[in-house]
Amino acid sequence: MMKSTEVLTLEAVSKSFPATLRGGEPIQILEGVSLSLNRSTSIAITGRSGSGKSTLLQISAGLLSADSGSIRFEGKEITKLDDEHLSRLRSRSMGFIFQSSLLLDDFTALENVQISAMIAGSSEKEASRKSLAMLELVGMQDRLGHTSDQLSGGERQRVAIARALVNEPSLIFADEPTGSLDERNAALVEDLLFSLVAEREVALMLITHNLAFASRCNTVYQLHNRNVEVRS
Amino acid sequence: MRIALGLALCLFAIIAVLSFMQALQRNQFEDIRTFESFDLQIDLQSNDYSAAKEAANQIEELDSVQHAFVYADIPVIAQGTNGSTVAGRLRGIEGEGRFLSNLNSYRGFLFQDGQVASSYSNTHSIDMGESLTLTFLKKGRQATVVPSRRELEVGAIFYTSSYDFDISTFLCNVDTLLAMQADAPLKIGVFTLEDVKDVKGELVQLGYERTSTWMEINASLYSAMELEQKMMALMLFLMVLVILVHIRNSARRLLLAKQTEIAMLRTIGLTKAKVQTIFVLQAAVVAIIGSLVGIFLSYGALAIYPTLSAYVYRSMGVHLEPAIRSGELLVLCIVIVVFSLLASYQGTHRILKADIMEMFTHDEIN
Repeated sequence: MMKSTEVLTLEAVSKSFPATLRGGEPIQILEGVSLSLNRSTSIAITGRSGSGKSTLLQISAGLLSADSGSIRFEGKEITKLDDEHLSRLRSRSMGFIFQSSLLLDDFTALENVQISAMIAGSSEKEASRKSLAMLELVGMQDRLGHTSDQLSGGERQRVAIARALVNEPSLIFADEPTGSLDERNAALVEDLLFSLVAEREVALMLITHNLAFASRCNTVYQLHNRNVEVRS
Repeated sequence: MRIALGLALCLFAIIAVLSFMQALQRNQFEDIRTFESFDLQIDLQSNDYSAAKEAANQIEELDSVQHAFVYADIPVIAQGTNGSTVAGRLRGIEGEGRFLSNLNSYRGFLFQDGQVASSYSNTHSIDMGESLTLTFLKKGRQATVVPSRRELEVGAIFYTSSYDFDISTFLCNVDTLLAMQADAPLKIGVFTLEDVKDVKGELVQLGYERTSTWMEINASLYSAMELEQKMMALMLFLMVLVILVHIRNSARRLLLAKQTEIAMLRTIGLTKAKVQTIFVLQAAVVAIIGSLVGIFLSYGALAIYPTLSAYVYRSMGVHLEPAIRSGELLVLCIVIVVFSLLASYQGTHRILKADIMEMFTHDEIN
């Protein structure tokens, strides 16, 4: 039997949030969303602010629970996985890049990447070797010992990319990775991300407002009226 | 580190209060038992001195009795040569055992025939070598219809650890007292290391039915001190409660401050169990360091206390010997460590109930 090329499949996923912290009539964010993502391909989700793009990414990665629907990652239904298995899946097969890089403040650039490899099961030595190689790849070899507050926004995002890729995941979730960067740094990060994704044959789910950035993906979805439609 | 230091200071405060209060009570009880009323006293209802001495010898032969000696108290008003007066008592006593060993001679010789000893506390009004006029009172410090007065020379100055005893007591030997008031009722004072209730039982069996323990004689004072003990326990309980609230709040604050980091670690694959283990271990380390520093501070303060004891005596009028009960300290430390673990476990459990993205976005998980 041929191995499925699908990395991520969403079927009829819905999500609502309570109107206020005290409850109230829930606000429907996603309703019956279905999409799929194959190996070595990329999709971009665009849409206006508050349309639920980030929510869709978070649900796809198991960071947020869906109200209903099915989410399969590499053939496994993640809504049914326990914490142990879902955590293992996240550490080994998923990579994350957020708008604010979310590095651990007290850790150096090297340690931030290293800890991700160690959580995935690498020994300290192996994690160190892989992290050094990855940081070199993103051009951060001279900033290994710098902590988060000693790095610029662009440098922090490059460390975040290294961290996302260190465990050779099958899918990268990137939520507005250039949203807080200036034009020049944004272009650098974009190029770096797409070259590494192509080079390593990793799938990419990109959330962005930037249509030019989105257009570099194989498929662009527009999130509209709580559901996705192909834009191009 | 600041949390550990806070814990250490709280623990130190509790230990300091506990050991000082216990020392103060020990001191008060010791004074009452040694100078005021002995461990037990037997009211002989007789003034036959030789029979009283024979009874004291018989009692002293009991294995449970350390010392037994004859004494008598007469309420008096003492007037010095400069006219100043002190209302108190004249105690005739065969100074022996614990009583004598805790009685310090400042000047002169104690228990000289025909002489009286006054305390150092009264030297501003009645000094050594002066003549003391004693007006004898009836029981309850009432004056007799025809005042009975005697004059005695102050032959010695003494002091004890009990200020109350010192300012109200003049000492002489039993013969001197009986020579002044032959019908003074004699008593036997008993010191024992055994349980006073058991010794009382033995004495009653020997026929000394009018035997009272120091607790019975000082019933109101004893019950007041018991009440003080209970209040102290309540105060300490509240202090422990403050520590526990401090631990809980610190654990909560720490977890809130680390919430984003926890979410980040969870995103890159750290399991809930591992997050919980990290924070519970961290709480254990903080609690253990805090307890160890608290213990170190407590024993350190105890070691340097002798250099401060003179100041304590000047301000409180008592010589205290604070001690740390290692059992109580151990229980306190165990309570602190266990509660820290529970607070951290409960705090992480609550935070980890939320979805990872909720941890990122919420300031506080309720």
